[in-house]
Amino acid sequence: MTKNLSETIKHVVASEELSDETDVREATAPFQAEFPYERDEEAQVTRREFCNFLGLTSAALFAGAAGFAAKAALDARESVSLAPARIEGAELLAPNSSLNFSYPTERDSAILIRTADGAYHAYGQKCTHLSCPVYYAREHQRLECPCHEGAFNAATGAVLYGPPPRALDAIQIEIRDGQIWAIGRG
Amino acid sequence: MMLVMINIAQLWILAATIDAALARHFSVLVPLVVASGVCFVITLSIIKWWRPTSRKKTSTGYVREDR
Repeated sequence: MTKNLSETIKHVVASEELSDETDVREATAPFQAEFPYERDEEAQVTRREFCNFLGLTSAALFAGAAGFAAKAALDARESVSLAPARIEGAELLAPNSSLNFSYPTERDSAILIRTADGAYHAYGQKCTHLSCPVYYAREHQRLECPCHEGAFNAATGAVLYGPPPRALDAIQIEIRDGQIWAIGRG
Repeated sequence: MMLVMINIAQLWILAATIDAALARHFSVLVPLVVASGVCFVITLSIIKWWRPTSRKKTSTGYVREDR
């Protein structure tokens, strides 16, 4: 036993070719022979293999971050040109009230507000916190989110209080011949 | 251990990137991607150049003698 160990140490220490970096299995084979189990039957991961795996993980995380950023940039570029759409019934909207509509697609719910001073403002209806639909609270003259008690300024869309991290998505509107048109995102 | 910590940092950066992208905070996207790239480069550098200490020498430089 002692003789074998001594020979093994000599073999590994004296060898310039064997390295646990280049071929760990071959380099450590004499040591493994001392233990009573079949190494090849076990799913062993060497240090170098584990480092390579971490390197691949790092590459994947970098690619993911770059991909998300690129997609966001592309989406932002695409949303620049939106087709104008007339908001049906907006001209009949009484002051201090609201009207729901869809813009720019049927799936994008939005809300048009006519404040007490008669001005029109339009926003995407998704709360910027967790996308709950906001509604116009007439008694407080502000937009409120029922899910987590966030509130937005009706005239600017800015956050008044609550968890929303940013203002509502504004929708640009225009009055054409007495009709209200949504013409783009603000 | 260092590589694991860098991976965790990159995971955090990826989460921040997704948050920023969904919230349309475009100004922070480039710094986040650059930070993730720097982490990747550091990871590659460690994998490429880091080597364990020699079996022949101890940490003090003492050369082991054959028994």
